[in-house]
Amino acid sequence: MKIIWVGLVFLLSGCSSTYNLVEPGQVAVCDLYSVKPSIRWSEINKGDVRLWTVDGAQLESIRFISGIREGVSIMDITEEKHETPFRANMSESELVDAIVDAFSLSGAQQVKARDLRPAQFGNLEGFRFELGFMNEDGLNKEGVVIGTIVDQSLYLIIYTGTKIHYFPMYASEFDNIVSSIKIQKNH
Amino acid sequence: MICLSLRQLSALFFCIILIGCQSSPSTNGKTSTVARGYQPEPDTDEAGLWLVMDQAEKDLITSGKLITDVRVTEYLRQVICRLSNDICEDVRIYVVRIPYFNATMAPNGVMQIWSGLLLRTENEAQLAYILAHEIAHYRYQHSLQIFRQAKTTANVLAPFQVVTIAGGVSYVGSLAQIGAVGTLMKFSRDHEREADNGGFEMAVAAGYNPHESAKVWEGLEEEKDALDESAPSLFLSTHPSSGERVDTLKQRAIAATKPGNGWITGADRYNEVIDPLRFQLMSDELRLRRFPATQILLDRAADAGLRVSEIKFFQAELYSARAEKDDTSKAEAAYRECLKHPDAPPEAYRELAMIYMKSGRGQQALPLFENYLAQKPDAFDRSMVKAYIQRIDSEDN
Repeated sequence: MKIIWVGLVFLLSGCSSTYNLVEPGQVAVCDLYSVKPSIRWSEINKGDVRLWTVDGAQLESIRFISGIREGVSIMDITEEKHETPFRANMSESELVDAIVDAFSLSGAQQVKARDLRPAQFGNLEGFRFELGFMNEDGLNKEGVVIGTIVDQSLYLIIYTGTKIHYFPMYASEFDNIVSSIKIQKNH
Repeated sequence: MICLSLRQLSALFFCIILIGCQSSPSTNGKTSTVARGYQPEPDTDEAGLWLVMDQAEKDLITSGKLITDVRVTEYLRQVICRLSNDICEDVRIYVVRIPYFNATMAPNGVMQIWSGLLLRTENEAQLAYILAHEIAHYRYQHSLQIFRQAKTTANVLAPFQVVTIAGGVSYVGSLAQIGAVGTLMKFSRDHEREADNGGFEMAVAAGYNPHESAKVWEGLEEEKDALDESAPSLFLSTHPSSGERVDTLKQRAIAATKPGNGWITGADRYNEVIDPLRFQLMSDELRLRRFPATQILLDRAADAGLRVSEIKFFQAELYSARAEKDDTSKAEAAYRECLKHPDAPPEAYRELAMIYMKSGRGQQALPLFENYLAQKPDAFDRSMVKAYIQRIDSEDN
């Protein structure tokens, strides 16, 4: 299962499918954690990836990518030779490289990571960085990635949106969602 | 991806409609050549084809995929003008940041040179023979010929099969789609032979060393063999290569008459312009995770002008990315070798420090992390590295 790729396909294509409504309040994202949005989001699920958007995935979205396990590809779609397998001992810099590569390989242009730093993922130690890139049509987009490794598995939350208007419009809501991460008791 | 394909197809079908409505003069291959300032008649199928190409060019310009270093594009223009001075003003050059080997020339004069080509040519002569081959396709209007042939065989999508294939092969498709319409046409063997001959004569007339002409093809074949792939590279899929072609080029090189002032190889000139790009080119190449092919490039890198420190660095990066048995210790050794050179990339300090830190050698990692931050004060991961330093300090206290 190529979870990050699935997330990025969502990210860049904005494929249409059936969306469900996520109401404000505590929402379990996966076995590891829950979050508490303060506005309504439309949600679509694909495997272990949950995508939330208000105005459409090409305009802005939050992707919850959960439980990437050791040895699972994080870069490619179908060609095994291009896979970047996740390794639990990857440094944060290596993870950033893999994520930047995944964006680039899926068609994003001039992908640049900024300000990688330690960050809390709920009460767990994690990392956070910002992204700048252009989509295939040359539209400027911004992104934020936060992540953590728990029990040898990688968890990512990726917020992206058009640099003008949509990304800034929901940036504070995204920060609120990140601040609301509640780790389940058994972790 | 789907949206882009539809847009491309829409443009193509627009062109087909034009073909269906209008009569057009035929071209007979070898006798048809393009002269300076050439423009198709507005009521022809060729004009319709140009419309598609013009739209593809607009997409390319806004794609964000271009390397816009004026020094590089100006240098390439000089090479093209040396090869074909009469039409060089009609050629619009775009260096596209796609790490595969490819060069294309559309009927409207748009030349794309993919960054992977610049990593694989080692001097101006090698570059010139590739570009001359593409210019020859342009001069002989091969794109128009196969477009018309497709029309007559009711297989109008055939010339675009590489684009179609690219759309289905995720990786190549996503990288190659921008600006790909109309530039990735699969030429016939006759077209290839004609472009080989015309390009060779053009480059020899410009004084470029013909003994360099086969080397790029040999290198590509070597990469292909190392990868053990059934599918050839994108360039080879549209430009069939063979031992026969290499042999022919070598034989023609022997027979070529050396000009009075000697052949031009142009390694210094090439390196002067391309050297600042090499770090990025090799980084992009590594991203493909085609390790056997990248290893071949690294083995040849000294000849290609890459600095020893960079060769060691990328060798270490290859080991790190591959992460097979013993690769960590190989990477450690290569980073150490790299850091013996004063011009080692700052990232080498960080990467060696990470290996030390992961293996419980925090104290050895500390000075390397500090060196990294000192050499790269605006590093994007400065805060993270500072956190590593604090963690090591706190663990030792």
